[in-house]
Amino acid sequence: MFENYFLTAIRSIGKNRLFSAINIFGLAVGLMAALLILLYARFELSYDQFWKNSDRLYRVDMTFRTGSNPLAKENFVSGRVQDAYLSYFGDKIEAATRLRYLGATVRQDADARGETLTWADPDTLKIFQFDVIKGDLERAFEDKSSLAVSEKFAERWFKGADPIGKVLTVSTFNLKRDYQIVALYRDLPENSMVSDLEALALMDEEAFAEPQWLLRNWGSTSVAQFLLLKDGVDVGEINAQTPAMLDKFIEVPSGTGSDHYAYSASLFGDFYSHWVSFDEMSTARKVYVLLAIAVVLVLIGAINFVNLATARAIRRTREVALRKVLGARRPQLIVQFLLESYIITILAILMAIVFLELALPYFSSFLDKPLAINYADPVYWGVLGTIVIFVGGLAGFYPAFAISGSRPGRILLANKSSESRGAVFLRQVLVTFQFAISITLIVAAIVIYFQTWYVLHLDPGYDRENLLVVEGINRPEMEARMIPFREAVSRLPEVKALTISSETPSDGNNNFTSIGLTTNPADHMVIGELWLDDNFFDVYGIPVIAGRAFDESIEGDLHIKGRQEMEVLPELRMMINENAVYRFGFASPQDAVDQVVYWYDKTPIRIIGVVADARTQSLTSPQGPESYRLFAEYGSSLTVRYTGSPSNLIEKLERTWKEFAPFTPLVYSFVDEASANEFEQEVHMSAVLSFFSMLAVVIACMGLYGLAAFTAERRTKEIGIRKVMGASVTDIVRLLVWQFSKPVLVANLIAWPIAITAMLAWLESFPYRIDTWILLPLCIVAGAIALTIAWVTVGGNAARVARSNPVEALRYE
Amino acid sequence: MLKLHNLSKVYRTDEVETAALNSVNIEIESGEFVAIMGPSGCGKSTLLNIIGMLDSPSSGDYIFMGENVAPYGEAKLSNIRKQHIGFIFQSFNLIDELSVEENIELALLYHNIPASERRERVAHVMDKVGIAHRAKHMPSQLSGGQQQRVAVARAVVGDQAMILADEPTGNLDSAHGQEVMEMLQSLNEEGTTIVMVTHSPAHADYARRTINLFDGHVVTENLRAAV
Repeated sequence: MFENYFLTAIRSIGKNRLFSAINIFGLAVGLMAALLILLYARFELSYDQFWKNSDRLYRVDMTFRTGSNPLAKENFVSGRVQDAYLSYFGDKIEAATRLRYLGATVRQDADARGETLTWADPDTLKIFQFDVIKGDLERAFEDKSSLAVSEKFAERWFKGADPIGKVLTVSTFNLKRDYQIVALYRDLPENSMVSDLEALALMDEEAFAEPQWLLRNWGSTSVAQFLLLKDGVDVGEINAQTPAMLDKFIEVPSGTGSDHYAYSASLFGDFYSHWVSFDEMSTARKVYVLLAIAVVLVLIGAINFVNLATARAIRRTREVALRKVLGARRPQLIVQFLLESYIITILAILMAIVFLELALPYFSSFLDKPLAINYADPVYWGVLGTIVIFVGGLAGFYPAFAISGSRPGRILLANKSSESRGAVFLRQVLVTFQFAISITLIVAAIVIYFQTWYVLHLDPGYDRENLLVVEGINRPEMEARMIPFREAVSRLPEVKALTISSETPSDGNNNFTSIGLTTNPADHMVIGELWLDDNFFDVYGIPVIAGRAFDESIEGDLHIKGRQEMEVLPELRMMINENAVYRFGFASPQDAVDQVVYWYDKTPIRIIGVVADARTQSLTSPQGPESYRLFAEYGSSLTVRYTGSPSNLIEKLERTWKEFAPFTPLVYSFVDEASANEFEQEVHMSAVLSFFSMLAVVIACMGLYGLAAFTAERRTKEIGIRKVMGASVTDIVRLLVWQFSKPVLVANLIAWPIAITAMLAWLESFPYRIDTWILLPLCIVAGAIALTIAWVTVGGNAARVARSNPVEALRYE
Repeated sequence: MLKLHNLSKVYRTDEVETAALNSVNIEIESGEFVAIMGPSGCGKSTLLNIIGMLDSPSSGDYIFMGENVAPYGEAKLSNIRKQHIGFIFQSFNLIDELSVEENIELALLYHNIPASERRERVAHVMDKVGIAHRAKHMPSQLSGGQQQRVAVARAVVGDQAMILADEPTGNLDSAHGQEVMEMLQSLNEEGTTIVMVTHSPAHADYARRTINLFDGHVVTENLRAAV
């Protein structure tokens, strides 16, 4: 009996090649996409779940609270908060460590390179588990001149030779010291936020005492702070008492510590996926969006199956009737049809795995995630099994019941078959559903594409072409020679103009301070702070709209160092942007000029000029107020406006740099590239969505093609009659095409509100976004795309059918 | 009305060549009622399809209303057909998804006739064949006789000069068969040319002339004595 079912199923699949191919291929493509998304989701949600005590391992984040304007949450915090935590919650904390990533110049003989090293506290080993290959990791934390390195680091420097005992000279800020390598550990897993720990050394508080912001400043975002809580300690309790802790430990000239800062600890295992700095989407939310798409793609594939199976059912009613006449009971028939559905699902999933293996390398490199199918992983097989059971059952259930329910007498005697209206209606609904999903995905892909294009082409308020930034001119070897270096570079023929500043559009670095109209801290607001020389606005092309620009030759423009030691606080000068004018409450830029405002320590500052708003900071956060101060010494980057070929310039810059800092590598970037990189994520998301929406449309259209082919076949008689009555080929094509246009049109009506609502919510997270009315024409475009594709799909087949001789159709009635 | 001269039709498959019609010469006058008889496979339906321009002859001439249509392509034939010829089939060939009146209207749909006139003519012809009370019903709700009456109505609603009927009574019981024959007869009396393929000698008797086909040849033609 079972063998007979099996044979019938296999033969039926083989006989209806077109339908079987559409079913298997469509389902396979949907499943491939779904498996891919599952792999991705599993990877993204697996970050830092593997640490031994992950249930009580916490990471601390910080928010600046000064004034009224909200600021982004920072995942790096002050180097001083650890001591505060340990002394305030000492009995609740088992271990605590800071990780301080710091760019350093590393030298071995003549070989000098820039590396990011990590200085950490000894508790690191109680919190994170390292897989030591060689040497003794504990030793790295016993003195201030030992280094533990990862395989990757060792490979880079020693190319397979034993690194243990080797000596590297490390210089950064005030530290210049020989470090001996004492341990080699395996690279940390990629699904960790600390996977980039390539070289570890003991934190040297004394060496890092200067500059203050390295570790000693409450306002710096300098270390990753980890806390391992004792068993049974409630983190909520700690977070609730944190403001009191801040009040106790932070000395601010006015107000309390918790007025200025907010700290909170959250589970390290959730940190990566839940992290939201500003209004953007967290990783977890992105993963959920993708998971929804995965479900939807499988659904579209499964719908094809249901549609084609019920449509084809009519041709099989005779087989069913005969089986019933011969004594088959309904459950047996249901089993038979479900079996067929499961065979198709299994074939589809096998094909999906093949597709997935072919697609994975591209996806891994595109998403920059090491995705791989782990065939030994029971979870993976469990997911596959669940998919087979669920999809096979879902796809086979309705056809099995619909087909097996027919009454044999009617079919065999009347020698005719007409479909129940329910089946026809169900198919229409399902096709509509498929297209509604496809259209929504198309709209989303187009909107994301447009938004990304818009932000990338937004007028930033400055001229970002032909700007090159030399970074790190404040590194130890160069810091003292910053100004002569600027002079040397200015003599290069390719250089039109140049400026030193503390921030540039390409470093994505934000530096803030607090300033107010009075000395009362309650009136203060957080304002961006840039240190620059007097060429900055010329080089960037930012116009001065009121007052005057800085001039180093005017006495008093330059910032005065060491004011705290003076008996009377000197009056300083600054320029601000237009946004700051209104945030301070001045009526116009002109009104702001010559006004005196107060720094956090009550130092008076006179506003001498106002520049137009320029989005020199991240375009992902809204334009904020900014203040500019004339003091090149606090600068960290040199921006060059150049003409001609950048490669010539870079060559000459390298040479000049070597003269000044032979042991420090030159680091540079282009401003236009840097602002494009900021939207890498959106560009990726848009590409991923485009890919999946294309898949959705392809699968939906394959289903439509199958249905159209089937319908044309079923309507051969009708087409024949219409042709005998005088209908032309065009009439027939129009008839069939219209039949399939209706569900697509209805799908548009369903998809548009959904797409518009979803995309409005998505656009909300962008301070600079496309006009929302654009969504409607985009919806219309998406609808037109779907309709055109449907027409092409159905039209070709309809034309073929319409051209056939009506006699054939009518003779073999 | 029409004249077939040395008309042949050959069907070719990969291996065999079958001559369905072999040098057939037939002339049918306007207003005639002709029955075509013969055993299964003698070429009756092929002949009817060629006369109805649903199929083209392999050789020979087909003069329809003074025009040789044998070499015409599908589009041209389709135009002549929809203006002059109505069809009635053994299996009725109504469209299951359309109601009685929609099925009848179909014959006018491709003629550029305004909707109001179409409705009028459909109503008129439904009265004539006595199916008006079933106008909104679907074909599956009708008996065979009723369905064939709908088919007759559809064949004549466009004021076609000639009706081709392929075994119109083949699927009907004798009472309903007779009903359809009487309908055809009265149409003929009003001037419509009728060419009918039939197996039933009794129904052939309604025709004024019977053409007997055998293996693709016309074997006899007998004229029925006036009643």
